[in-house]
Amino acid sequence: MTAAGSGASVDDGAPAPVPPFALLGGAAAPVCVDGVCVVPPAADDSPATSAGGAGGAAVEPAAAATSAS
Amino acid sequence: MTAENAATEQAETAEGADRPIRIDIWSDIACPWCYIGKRHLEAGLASLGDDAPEVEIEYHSFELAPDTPVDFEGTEIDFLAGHKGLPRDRVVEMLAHVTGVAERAGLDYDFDALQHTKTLLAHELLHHAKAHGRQLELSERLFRAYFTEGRHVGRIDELVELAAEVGLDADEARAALESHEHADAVQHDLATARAYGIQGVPFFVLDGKYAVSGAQPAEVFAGAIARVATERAAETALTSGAAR
Repeated sequence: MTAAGSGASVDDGAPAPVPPFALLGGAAAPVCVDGVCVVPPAADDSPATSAGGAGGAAVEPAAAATSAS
Repeated sequence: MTAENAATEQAETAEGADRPIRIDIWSDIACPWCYIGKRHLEAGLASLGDDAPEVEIEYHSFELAPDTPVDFEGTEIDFLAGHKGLPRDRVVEMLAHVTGVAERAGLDYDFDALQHTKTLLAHELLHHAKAHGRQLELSERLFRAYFTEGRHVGRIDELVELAAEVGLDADEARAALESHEHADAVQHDLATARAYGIQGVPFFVLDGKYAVSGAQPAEVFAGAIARVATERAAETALTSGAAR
């Protein structure tokens, strides 16, 4: 399975329909798919995502590509 | 256009501009990024301060792992390693990582206490709560119960307790769960998600026009909400001008 809007095939082999929405913010954000949670590189941990949004927080390497559901 | 028609149109346009911005969220209680995304959405809204428009949020069902048993004996690590075939050491690393991200969003995840379970009943309860105007409260309560408190959100008794904690009638909640009163509504949400091509959660739809996929930063949510509000204001101004 792939992220929504990717246009790639889903498990049953049928093409994924294009969502009737304009996608904002891009697709590179942590998302859970089929029981596994994916963290695109550098998308999970920027200072802006931190509580309060204070700058200065270090951006960790995006070594962990997936997480648990 | 007559003056009467113009006045009516202006009133209708103003009414449309004043209505809350609708945010539909596809989410699963067992989705760690959904809870984090919820916090980011809330932070984004809060960052708009006095300019924050009124929003109307509705949660929709998404079953992340339908093959999950109601009762699973073992830890989250056991489940992911056994069911998904992920290496145990990598799972440990991943859980630590998401726990850290959650902490920075103000959430206290406890994967050691977490009880992995099927979330279908929890979704039915969320629809019951929606029918009684308590869906947002229950959503927050279920997330906290699952990720922070190690509660079992797959059993009716526990779900009824949680429902009562957010002000729902316990007997009515139990009856709704036992009769699967909202099972069709859950399936409708799942079918809508498929029709929209939603394959991962959280997935946010704003006013039926814009989508935000995943636990995006708070600033993305703030920008999206502000954009919808600005577009509405522009449409209102355009329509009002045309009606004169």
